[in-house]
Amino acid sequence: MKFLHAADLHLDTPFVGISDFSKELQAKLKASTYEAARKLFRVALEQEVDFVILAGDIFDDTDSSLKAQMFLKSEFEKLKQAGIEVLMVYGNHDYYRSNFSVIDFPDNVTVFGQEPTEKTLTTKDGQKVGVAGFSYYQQHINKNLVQDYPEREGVDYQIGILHAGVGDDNYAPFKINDLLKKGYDYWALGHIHKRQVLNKKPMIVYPGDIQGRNQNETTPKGFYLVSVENGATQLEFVQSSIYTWEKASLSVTADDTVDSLIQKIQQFLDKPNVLLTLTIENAQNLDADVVKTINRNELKQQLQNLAMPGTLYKIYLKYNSNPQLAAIDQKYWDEAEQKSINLDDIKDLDSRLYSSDVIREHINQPDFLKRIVRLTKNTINQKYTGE
Amino acid sequence: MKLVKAKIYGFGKWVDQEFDFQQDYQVIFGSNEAGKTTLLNFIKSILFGFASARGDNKYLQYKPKTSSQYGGELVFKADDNSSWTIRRVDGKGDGELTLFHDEQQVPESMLKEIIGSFTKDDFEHTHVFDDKNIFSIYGLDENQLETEIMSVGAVGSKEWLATADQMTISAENIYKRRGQKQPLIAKLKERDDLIEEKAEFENQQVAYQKVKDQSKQTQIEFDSNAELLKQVSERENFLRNLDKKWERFEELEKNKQPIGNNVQISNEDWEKFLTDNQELSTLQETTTTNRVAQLNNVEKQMLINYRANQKRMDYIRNQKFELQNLQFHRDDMKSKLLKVDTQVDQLFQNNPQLSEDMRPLSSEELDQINPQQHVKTNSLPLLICGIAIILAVVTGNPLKVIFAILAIGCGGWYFYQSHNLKSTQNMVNYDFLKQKGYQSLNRESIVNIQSTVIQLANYRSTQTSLSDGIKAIEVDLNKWHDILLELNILDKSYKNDNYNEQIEKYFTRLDQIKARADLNEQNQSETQEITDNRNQRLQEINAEISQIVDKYQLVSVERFVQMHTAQVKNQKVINQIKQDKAFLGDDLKRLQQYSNHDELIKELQQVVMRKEALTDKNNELSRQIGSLKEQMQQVLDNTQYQRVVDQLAQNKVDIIENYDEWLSKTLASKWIREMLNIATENRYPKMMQKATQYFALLTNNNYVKIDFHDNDIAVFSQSKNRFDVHELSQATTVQLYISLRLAFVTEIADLIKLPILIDDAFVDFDISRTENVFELIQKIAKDNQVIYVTANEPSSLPQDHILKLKGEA
Repeated sequence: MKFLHAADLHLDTPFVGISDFSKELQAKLKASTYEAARKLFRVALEQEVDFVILAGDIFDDTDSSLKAQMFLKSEFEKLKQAGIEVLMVYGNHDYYRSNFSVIDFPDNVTVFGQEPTEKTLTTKDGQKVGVAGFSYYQQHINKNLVQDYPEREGVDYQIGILHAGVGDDNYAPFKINDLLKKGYDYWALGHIHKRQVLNKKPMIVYPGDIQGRNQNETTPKGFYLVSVENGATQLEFVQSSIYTWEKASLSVTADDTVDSLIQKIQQFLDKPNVLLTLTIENAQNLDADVVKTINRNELKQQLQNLAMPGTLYKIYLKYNSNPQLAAIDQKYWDEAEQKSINLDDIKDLDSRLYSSDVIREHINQPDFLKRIVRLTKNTINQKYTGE
Repeated sequence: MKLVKAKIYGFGKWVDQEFDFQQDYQVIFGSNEAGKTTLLNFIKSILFGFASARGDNKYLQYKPKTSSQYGGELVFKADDNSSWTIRRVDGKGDGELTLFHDEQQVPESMLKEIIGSFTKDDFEHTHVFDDKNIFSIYGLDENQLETEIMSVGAVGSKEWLATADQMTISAENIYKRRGQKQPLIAKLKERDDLIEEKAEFENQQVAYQKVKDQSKQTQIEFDSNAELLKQVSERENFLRNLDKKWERFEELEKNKQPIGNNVQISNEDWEKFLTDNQELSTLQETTTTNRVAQLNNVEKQMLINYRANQKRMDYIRNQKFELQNLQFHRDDMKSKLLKVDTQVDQLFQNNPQLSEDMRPLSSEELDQINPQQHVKTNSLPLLICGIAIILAVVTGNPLKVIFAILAIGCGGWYFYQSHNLKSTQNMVNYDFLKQKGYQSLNRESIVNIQSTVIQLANYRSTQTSLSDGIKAIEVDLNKWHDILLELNILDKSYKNDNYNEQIEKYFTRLDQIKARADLNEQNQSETQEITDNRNQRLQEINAEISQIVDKYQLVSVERFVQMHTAQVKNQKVINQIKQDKAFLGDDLKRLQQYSNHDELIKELQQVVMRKEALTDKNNELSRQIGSLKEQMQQVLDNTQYQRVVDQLAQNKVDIIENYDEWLSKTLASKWIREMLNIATENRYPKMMQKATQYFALLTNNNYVKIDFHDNDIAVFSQSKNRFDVHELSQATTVQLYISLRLAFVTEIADLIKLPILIDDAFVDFDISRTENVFELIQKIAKDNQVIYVTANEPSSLPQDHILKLKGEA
């Protein structure tokens, strides 16, 4: 028995910070979620799998998903021709609303409803497989729904599809132990975009998204080709991403010039379809003119003109801590950090800004404060050194 | 760390110079230009590096003019009595540094053991007191002064405050609480706009469903309408068809079947009748036809005439050229005669004596007058005679005779002439002269005129012979004329004598007539035969016709024709009815359902109106379907929507980026201020204690307390009066500032212990105050080494602590 496990297709994802890319690259990036999905369905046909699991967040925008729905319909038709079933759930991103699904999928597609239910099917090698799952009918689900999944009964292989985060209160929170207790053979998870295998026996797997969607979704992305033989489950990762986001850092010295930086950055860009986010460490060492060249995006422009296989997405300058801060008054600095930087004060800092949902959401991100402290230190370091 | 020795290789004016320093305090005294400040700069430079050769710093370079070696050494003694030697010589950047600890070279980084993490600036802000920073106190306004005094609390705090201010400004450039156009505000506004724009887009799926439903509904309506339209159109076509046929239908109704005629003339008979009739009329028409034109009477007469005189006429035809010659000859002679007439006239003109009756004198006569004179015989007649004989031989018959006569005549004339010449022999007064017409002339003239007279006589004879010849020919021609007239070849009216031409003309015409006469003769026999045949045929045909007419027991051919015409007419009617019926076909019954045409037209009009209504509806529905298709395209094309979504995503990132930048700057500013506050608050209690002591000492105990509270400094006098900083005199303010700074240096001594360098900072102090300063220095020097350079020799200090520099002025 063979099946594919993919999640978080996020068809029609908008890409940001690409306005100075070539028109061609922009268009290809925007189409990349579709390209990756095409690869997924192509592999399903090539591998002659029994079924394909799509564990939620298939559409990025549920207000306008006709293109995606039509695309899926045509792909699903192809799978139907090959006798391949599709089992899918809606996630928090594409949670089900009336009027949402207007294109009828062919009958080889099973979309799970609001409550966990089960669908059984028989594979080509005669295995009876039970697949359980549920779809989101609202954006947030605070309840752990794992206990509502049906008990394993009279099947050779039991799969649970679950779009959720471990202990993530808003998204059907669960604990690994909850899953283990169910006695299923495979938990096909979705929601977390980072690929990870939480448990091996039984398999609890996040395949990640099929195409990195921003600079933080690094590494090649794809899905799992799962083979089950004699009760043993094997995972094989198949890359589907067209573009790979990468992060790299480059430490610079006072001797570095614009030319030497271009030389050094080039080596990060010799892989095709790489979108690089570069952090320049020890930027305090750089000549003020070099810093200006970087801040004016001229360095990036020059690199773009070299037409390397990879593309430079962004450069961050990191000003590392200055010894002058450390010694004499360090204890006061540390003490002042405690006093001046805390989440409540930041929230109270400006009501107008906090009323913006974007900013509020941003502030409420778990690693927000850490990031802001880092940025603030960077600012102080930069000020003290540079200007 | 105590500085115990400075060893200068070369620095400014100092070359190969050593200075030893007391470990508590060292006063260095020297006049201006003695090199005091240079020495202090040397210490700073060895510790923190040479000033670079660029920018404003180049004036702080102390490259010696007299020595090639730049730099030197400083020797420090640590608390544990170990010694540190810092050597710095000219080199890259801020100089080449070598560091020794107890004579052992150690890495440069160990310099931290001596200077900590201090920079030259830090050191100058804390440990260095010179007139520059003391004097600057005087120039400050109230707030600056307080800031200056307050900022003593932390290292480089003044710069930090400025940085904090800069960051606040820079944060406000991104976002300001009540701002309008800062980027973050703009982005937030943009977001509102984009969300509004996005809201204007209908949910794609809902729109799709709606349009799809509408399309379906409209299509159903369209289809049923189209079905109706089709039916009505068919009905219309049906009625129009009937309408078109109405005329024929009406005709058919009118045409009743004709009364039957039993006797039918068979086609065969009719055809035969027609053929016979045709032949009959053809035969009748061709009766008198004769292809050759008959000769008219004149022509007939000509022919008869010819046949009667054939022999003679043929002769004439052959002789026409002879006639022509005769005429030619006559004309020639006529012209010759004319010429001779002219010559005679000429002769008379030239010789007035000449008269007509003069005759040539014979030679005898001449001899009588003049015996030498002989007259030659005129041989002209002989010549003509010869010519005439020749002509008589060569020419044709009638002319021959004429010439022969002419020849004989001329011959005779010649003999006569010769005879006369012999017989006439006369003198002037002789008779013969009279006779011969010379009576009025003398002998001379007679002799002279003789040749002329002879010439005239010759002319006259020529004239005579020519006239005779012409006459003879004219006689001949007249005979010809008569013959031609007799034979009718020449018309009586013809007056010219161009007979040849007339003969030609006549015979040409005669030939034509003859040819035609021959042809006619030939035709005549053939025609006779044809006429016989035709007559026979005519009889046959007439018989046939009567047979046919009789067959139908009719009285006449006319009747037969009438009967046939009636029969044809009937047939036509029958055919028409047949055709109409075939044309109308099944429609006949349908047409018969209408009592009249108007009824049909009325129904047609109703149907047409109904069709128009249905067509309009059809068009309308068709338009709706088109518009729905377009709407569907628009629903499916979500480029605009996608653009807004893309912009929203970008906007979100931009907002976060701007916010983070704003926040980090705001927090950085806050952090810096907080740090400064904490530093000040922590250091101030102890610092204030020391500062109070120093201040009291410097002010001769005029002020007994420095109070620091809530970032505010006040001092109290002995009489417990409170003074804010700005209420103090300038001198007292400077004293306060010095107290605070010295207190700060001593306070941070646990972090860094470097000598305090004082460069004539108190020059404007009076003696009492200066003494107080020295007292203070001695007090501080217990814990902190002080190196004090001054141009004023202190009196109250032990000599071993005073180093005197030799003035070089």
